[in-house]
Amino acid sequence: MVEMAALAELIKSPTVIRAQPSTPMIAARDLTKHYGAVKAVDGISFEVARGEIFSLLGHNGAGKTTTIRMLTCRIKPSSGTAEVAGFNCATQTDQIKPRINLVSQDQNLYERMSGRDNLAFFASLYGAPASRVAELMGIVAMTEVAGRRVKTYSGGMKQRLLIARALVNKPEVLFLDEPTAGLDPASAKEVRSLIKDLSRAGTTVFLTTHYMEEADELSDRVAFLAHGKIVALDTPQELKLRYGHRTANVLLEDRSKTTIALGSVDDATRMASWMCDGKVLTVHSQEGTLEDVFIALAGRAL
Amino acid sequence: MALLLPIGLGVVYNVVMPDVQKPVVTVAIASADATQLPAALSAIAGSTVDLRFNNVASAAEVTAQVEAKKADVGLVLPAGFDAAVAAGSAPTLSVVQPPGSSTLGAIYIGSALDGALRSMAGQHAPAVITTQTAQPAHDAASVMTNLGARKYMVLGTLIMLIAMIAIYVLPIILTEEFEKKTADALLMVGTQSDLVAAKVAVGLTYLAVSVPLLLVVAKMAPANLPLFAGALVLLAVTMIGFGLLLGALVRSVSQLNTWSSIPLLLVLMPVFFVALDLPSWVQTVLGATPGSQAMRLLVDGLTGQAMYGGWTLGFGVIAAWAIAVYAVLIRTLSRREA
Repeated sequence: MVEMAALAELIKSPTVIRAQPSTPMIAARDLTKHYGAVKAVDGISFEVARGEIFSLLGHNGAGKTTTIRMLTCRIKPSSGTAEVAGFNCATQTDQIKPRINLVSQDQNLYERMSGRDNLAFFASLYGAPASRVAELMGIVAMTEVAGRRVKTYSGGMKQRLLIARALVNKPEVLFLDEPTAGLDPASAKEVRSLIKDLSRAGTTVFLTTHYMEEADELSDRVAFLAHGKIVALDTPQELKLRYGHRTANVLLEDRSKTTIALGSVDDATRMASWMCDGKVLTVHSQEGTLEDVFIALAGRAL
Repeated sequence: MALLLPIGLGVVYNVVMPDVQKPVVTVAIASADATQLPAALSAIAGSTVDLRFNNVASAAEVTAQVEAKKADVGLVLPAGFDAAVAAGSAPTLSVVQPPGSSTLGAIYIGSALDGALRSMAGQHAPAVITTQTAQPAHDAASVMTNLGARKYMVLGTLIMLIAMIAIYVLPIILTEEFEKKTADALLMVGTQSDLVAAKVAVGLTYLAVSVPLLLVVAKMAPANLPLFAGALVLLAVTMIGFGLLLGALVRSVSQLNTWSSIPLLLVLMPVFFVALDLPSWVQTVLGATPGSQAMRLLVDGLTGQAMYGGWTLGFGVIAAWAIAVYAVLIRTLSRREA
C-alpha cells in the first residue's frame, strides 16, 4: 500500500534539526502525574530509541493517555521529567511540538471539509509546503478520494487520513493512541502495515493499544502499565518467555485433546508414555501470548 | 441566521423610522431679473431651516405651485426689484400663501422677509443677533431627540450583531472543536492562547464584513470614525471573550443552545436601557457594563458630539471587562486541559 521510498524521503527531509542518533527519542524519568489524591501516573521510567516501536499497554484508567499527554506537552508532570528528542516536555514545548505528532483514537477530523482540505489546513499551520498534501494523500493511497468530504469516508479511510495528517510536519516521534480501535480487520491490517513502514523509514513510534496481537506484531518493546506503574518492560518475546505458559496441544488416537505444560516433569512423563504406546496423532507447541503475560501481571485481561 | 437577523432589523428600522430632520420650506419664486433675495433668506435661515427655491417664469406659475402644494409659499418680484430695494423706493413684493390656514413654511418666510429685505437695502439690523447651540443634556430624552429613534435602534442592532456573533456563533465553533476533539489536533501545533487568538480572529473577520454592511444598509456614517471604530473593536473583542468563555464552560453544542440566550440577554439589555430615563443609581450600575458604555461611545462617535462624554471611562470599563474575561477564559481552558 505504501510506497516506502516516498515515505522514507518524506520522513527524512528535515524541517527541524533532528536529534542526535545516540539521544533517546523519548526518556521518562520517575514521571508522575497526580490529580489530588489520585496518582494517574506513578513514577514511571523508560527510554525509547530512534526508529523503535514502543507500546504501552494497560487497562482503561491505567495511565496510558495521561502519559501520552505529558509526552506531547499537553499537561505538565507533577514530578519527574519527560524528554522528547532531547527536549524537556514541561519547559521546551516550542522545540518539541514541531518534532512530534499524534494519531488519536477519536478520528478528530473536520468532517465537512474534504480530506485534501483537512491536510492543507494543518500543512498551513505547520508552515509545510502545499505539495506535501498530494504527497501524503498518495502515501496513504487516498489520492482518488482526496476531494471527497471526510464524512463520506469509511472508518479505515479516516484512520489513514489521520496518519497522513500526523505526518504533515515530518515528525521524528509519532504517538499513536489506539490507532486501530473500531476498524474492521482489513483496515486495521492496512494501518499496521503503515505503522511498520513508518518505523522502517526512521520514525519513532509510541503506541498504545488494547489489542495484544497488534502490540506483539508491531512492537520492538512493550511496557505494561497498571495503576500508573510500569509492571513489566521488555521485548514481546522475552515477556512471553518470562511470564507466558509454554504448552503443547496433543491430539490422541481416541480423538481426545489435551494440553500439556512443556516445563512440567509429570506432563513430560505422560507424553513419553503416549508416544511409546503410539497414541499421539498430532502435537502443536504453543508459546505464551502477551494476553497471558498481561493476565499474569495485572490479574485480568484487557 | 445570527448575521441575517441584525442586518434585517437594520433594514426594517431604516424603512419604518425616519431620521430627525430640520424642517424643509419650499419657496416658489418668480423674478424678471436676477435677485439676491433667496440668498438673503438663506442667510437668515442658517442651519435651522432647509430652504429650497423653485425658480419659475411667471406669477401664474408661482400660484399654481402653491395651489398644487409643490411649494409652501410663493414670492413674485417685479422687474428691477433688487435695484429698487437698494434705492429705497419700496417696490411691491407679492407673497402667495396656500389656501386655508397658513403653513409653518409660509409663516416662517413671512417673518424672515423683513430682515432679508433690510439686509438687501444695506440697513443695519436694530440689534446683532448671535445664535448658540446649547450643549445637549445627558438625559435620555435629549439623546433620543438629537439622535433620532432610527439611529439609536440601528446602533442597538449593531451591538446585537456583535453579540450574536460573539456569544452565539463563536462558542458553537469552539465547543464543536472540543466536542469533536479537533481541538486536540490543533493543540498539537499551538497553545491554548493560540486557539483563543484564532477564534478571536474568526469573530473579528465575521464582524469586519457584517458591521460595515449593516452601516451601509442603514445609511449611517460615523462623524467621529476613530471613536466609533475603537469602541466597536474593543466591544467586539470583549464580547468574543464572553462567548469563548461560554464555549469553554459547556460540554456540548446542545448545552450551548440551551444556555446561550441568557448571557445574550444579559449583555444586550443594558444597551437598550441607555436611552431610558432611569434613576441615577440604575444608570450607575449600567455604567459598569461594557454594553452600556459601548452604546454611549457609539452614540458620541456617530454624532461627533460629546452627548455622553466620559470616553476614557467608557474605554476603561470595557477594557477592564476584556482583561478579566480573557484571564478567566485562559484559566478555564488550562484547567479543562489538565
